[in-house]
Amino acid sequence: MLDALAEVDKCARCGFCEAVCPTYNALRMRHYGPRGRLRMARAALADSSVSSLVLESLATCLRCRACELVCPASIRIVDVIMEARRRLYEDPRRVRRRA
Amino acid sequence: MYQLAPLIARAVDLLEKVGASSGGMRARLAAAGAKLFGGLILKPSEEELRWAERILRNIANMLNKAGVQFGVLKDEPYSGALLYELGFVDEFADYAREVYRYFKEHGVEEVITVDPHTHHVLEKVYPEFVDGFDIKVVSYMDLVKPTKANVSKVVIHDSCLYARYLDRYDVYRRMLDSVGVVHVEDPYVTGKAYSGCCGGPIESVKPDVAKEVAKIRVRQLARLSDVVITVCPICYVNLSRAGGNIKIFDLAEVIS
Ligand code: SF4
Ligand code: SF4
Repeated sequence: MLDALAEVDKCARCGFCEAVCPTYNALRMRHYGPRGRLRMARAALADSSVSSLVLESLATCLRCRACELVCPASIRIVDVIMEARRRLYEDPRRVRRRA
Repeated sequence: MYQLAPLIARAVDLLEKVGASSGGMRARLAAAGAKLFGGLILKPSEEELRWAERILRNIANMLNKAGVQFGVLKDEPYSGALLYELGFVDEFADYAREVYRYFKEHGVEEVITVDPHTHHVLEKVYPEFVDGFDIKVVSYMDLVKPTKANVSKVVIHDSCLYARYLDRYDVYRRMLDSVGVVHVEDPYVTGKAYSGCCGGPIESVKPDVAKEVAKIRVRQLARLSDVVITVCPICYVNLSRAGGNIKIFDLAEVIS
């Protein structure tokens, strides 16, 4: 079983993963990169209500795995994102609509 | 289609919160839903249909040439890959169990796949969700032995699934080698770790971001060759929409 929160907490925030992430490179916004997505996954897994940015971040991961191949902490980034996304989709009411 | 209605409604609600345009989104999800259940609401264009048919025919010819015996199911069910990939895991699990039952009813023991999404979901994901899943999954690439090609120098755009999930990175390279096609490589563009995604997996979530990702990818590839080979229909479609002075072919269009 994947302990998604424990995986998130392995992140050293080095940022190596951002260099290879296609969505980060397209937009240069932190929540569109792997490091930011792990932060957003933590919110989706642990917080009772989350900003729509969390949803946007998790829903736009391509699952391409480029980040995993360069992560020095060998974090299962895609599995964490998938698990956080699944939990969020179970109860979409947790997502606050944009003002 | 009826079974899918609640899922579509929930997906639209979620995706609208992401800021996706609602009209296009509804149409796209309806198309995905239609595809899932075998009906067709939004028809692909004639050209796209001819393209797909050409590729499938060529794969069938190559399989015959290699002496592989196979059949095609009349109402072949969709694998449900999209449900899984979009994150609707529970719905996917129910759907996968139905597909497995269908396969069993039709005496299927082995499936030959022609695209990475179907292959990945059948080989790696079904066993997680379907009790006793015992169908062997092979890719056409593992079976065919092409003898000629109609291109000479290309750049390969890898499928993330083939390269990083399914260990096929070298398989299509060796196929091209075997028929004398030069593939230009650059570790930062076509390396196993660095090759970029086409953006296709989020086309139905954020089409504008998917397009930007594809444009960046096309620029990288074009530096190496103006003939790009894809091994996945989603990559083909998404890169084709990004413009640029390149010609894109599926692997099964250039070898035989
Ligand atoms: S490469 Fe790994 S450890 Fe470094 S920021 Fe990215 S996820 Fe965290
Ligand atoms: S798997 Fe997701 S987070 Fe990782 S590089 Fe690809 S798009 Fe970025």
